[in-house]
Amino acid sequence: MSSRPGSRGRRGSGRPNQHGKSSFFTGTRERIRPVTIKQTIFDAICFGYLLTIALAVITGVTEDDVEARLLPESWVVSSFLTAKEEAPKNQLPYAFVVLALTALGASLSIGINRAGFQTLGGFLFESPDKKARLDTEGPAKTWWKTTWGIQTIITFLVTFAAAIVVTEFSLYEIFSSDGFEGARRVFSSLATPNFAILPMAVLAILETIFMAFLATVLAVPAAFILSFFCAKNLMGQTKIGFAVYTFLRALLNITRSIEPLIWAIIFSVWVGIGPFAGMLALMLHTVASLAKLYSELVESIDDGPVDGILATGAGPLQVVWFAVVPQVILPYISFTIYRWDINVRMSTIIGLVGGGGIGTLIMQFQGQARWHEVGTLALVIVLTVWAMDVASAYIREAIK
Amino acid sequence: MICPTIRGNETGQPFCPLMTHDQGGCHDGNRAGVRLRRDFPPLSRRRVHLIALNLPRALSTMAKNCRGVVFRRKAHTLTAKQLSIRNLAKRFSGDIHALRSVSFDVEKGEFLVIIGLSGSGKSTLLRCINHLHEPTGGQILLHGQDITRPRTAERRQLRSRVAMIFQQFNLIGRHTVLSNVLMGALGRTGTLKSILGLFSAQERKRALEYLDLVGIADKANIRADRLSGGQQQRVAIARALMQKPEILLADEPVSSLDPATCHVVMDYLKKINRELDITILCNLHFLDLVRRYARRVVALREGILVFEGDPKEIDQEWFRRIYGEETQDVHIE
Ligand SMILES: Nc1ncnc2c1ncn2[C@@H]1O[C@H](COP(=O)(O)OP(=O)(O)OP(=O)(O)O)[C@@H](O)[C@H]1O
Ligand SMILES: [Mg+2]
Repeated sequence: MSSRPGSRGRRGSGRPNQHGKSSFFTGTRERIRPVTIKQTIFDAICFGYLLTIALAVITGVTEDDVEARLLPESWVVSSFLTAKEEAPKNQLPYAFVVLALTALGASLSIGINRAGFQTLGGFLFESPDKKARLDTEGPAKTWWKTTWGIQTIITFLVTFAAAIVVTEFSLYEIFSSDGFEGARRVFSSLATPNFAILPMAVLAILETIFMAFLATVLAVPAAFILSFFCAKNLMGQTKIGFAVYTFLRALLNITRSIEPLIWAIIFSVWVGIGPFAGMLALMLHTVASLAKLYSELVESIDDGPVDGILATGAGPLQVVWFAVVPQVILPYISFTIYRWDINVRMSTIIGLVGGGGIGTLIMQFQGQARWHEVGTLALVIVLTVWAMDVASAYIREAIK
Repeated sequence: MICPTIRGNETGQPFCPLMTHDQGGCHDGNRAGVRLRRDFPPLSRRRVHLIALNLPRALSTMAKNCRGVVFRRKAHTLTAKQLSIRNLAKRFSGDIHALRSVSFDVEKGEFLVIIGLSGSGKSTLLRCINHLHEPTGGQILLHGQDITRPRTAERRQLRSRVAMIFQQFNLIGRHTVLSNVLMGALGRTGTLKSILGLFSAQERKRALEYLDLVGIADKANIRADRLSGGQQQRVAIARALMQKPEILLADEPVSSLDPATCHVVMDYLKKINRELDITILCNLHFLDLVRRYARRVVALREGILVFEGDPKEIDQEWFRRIYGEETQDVHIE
């Protein structure tokens, strides 16, 4: 689609409106916004998403009946595909609709930018020097009066509304008497713990704490070393360095985006159910997240000392040791302690899938609906986590 | 070669920066040019343009119009210099020409001061010399030897011969003063040894001597970030000396110090220049400091060398050429 108002936006048609005249339609933004790939992709997804939801609302289609209602059988592609099984037969046309709407979004984005208004994509992916140049040209508008501001608001509101529909948000369910009664029963049992199993609970939580401790301690050296390879300011200088950086970043992001719970399931198949599997899962996740946190610290260091050390003729390792490490060591320690704290909390969860420790115990009692015992375990967990939290806060404060 | 250094200034009064070398034009690493009379008439814009387009013809035209003589210097007369910068250029990504074409020579034991507006490329020039930035054009010669594109090992070796101090001191705040000075020896200490802190007793002794030289031996075991700015800069000087350099680059060494401390630090620089015979290239902003300490001055403007000579020669007229017309009300003296 070409939504160019007049011929004003055409590239190469000279400076638009050199006399500073401005009408309502042309607006005061008399400059052609450059169209880049990144911004178009972003806007295509954003507009495509909005258009898809709009279409879904108009046609009254919901998540559940995504099967049948949107398009008639005469839809070109669907008739071509109907021969196969039931379920996926109408899925493909939907994909096509979404793709078409995304493409529409892309052209919408290009059109709007060409017309001299800045879309959200344009705003986000504008190169900094261009930004500086354009910003000096006129008084800035309040953000919510700009095109990208309006786009942001609409996207947010639509997403909020969609989220309420999709999560089946219902006040009625919360206050219904049946559900309320059940919750009250469980809570009252939890509130009257059975202290007979206390020794068992303490042993289990010790196992959990050791698991968290070992996972953290084993993860720290790996994360420490990886962090320097994942820091753009150290690795971005050479081509090989940048390749290593990109590869490691991707690998760690993937590792990190898989929850420890999933890793625990994988490892319990691998090394058998028990604390070892839980520890491995925690460790892997800890390496990935610590390496990311650490490397961000490395990226935010002051370049001055690095220059100072480089200027003495020091080698790369010496630069890292003398200029980088002193700047990051305290935050490293504080992050590590914080991470141990997180790991203690997480390892109780990991226990739920057979990762050992107190989580496994909870699973057993909960399966038998022995809520009094579960109450004891919950109490032990609460106390431990609270103690860890306080301790870690104190330690982090002390070394600041 | 087209000389990129020729351009008019803002007032439309064309000036020719290449006139500044011995009042004569010079190109291609000072090897050819026009030597002009001292009171050469201002060049017209057209002629300046011409020079840029056709160098040989422009040179002879210039010689005729300005009653100068064309000269050709022999290359070897220049290589005896300790440091020669030839047409040095540095372009940053985003098409920022920090240095366009800078040529000058430095002799051993000199105290050379580089002046110029903020953003004129002074820091870039110094950082190119010890390869904290890689130059994108031109040449740097150290004792006649081309060091423009060193390999990794050579670069480290070069950096330990050419020390540098910075405006922000760039010490390692969490280490002691002594250990900061010892870091000057990193270039010739093995990686593992230095990381384990195994500097030889002799190095330690030297470090203390240099601390003594800059007058803060008593602070040797204090954390470096506990010192005042002036003291930190003196530690930085000691660290630089620890490298046993032949050249010391100082990038605005006193810009974050008060006027009194300024002189203390500058006096130490002067002292090491005189007593240890270390060549100093120093960026400065204040002309009174320049007059007091510089033996020779070069001035940069937008990445071009616009003045080279004695600090006393910088009169009101030159001041305006270097710093731009709008600063004419600033009183120098
Ligand atoms: N790392 C860099 N990347 C991109 N541009 C740079 C970089 N360093 C300097 N520049 C640019 O190069 C030009 C010269 O900068 P430089 O720091 O050499 O100026 P300067 O004369 O030292 O100024 P000052 O007196 O403020 O220190 C400036 O326009 C600056 O923006
Ligand atoms: Mg500078």
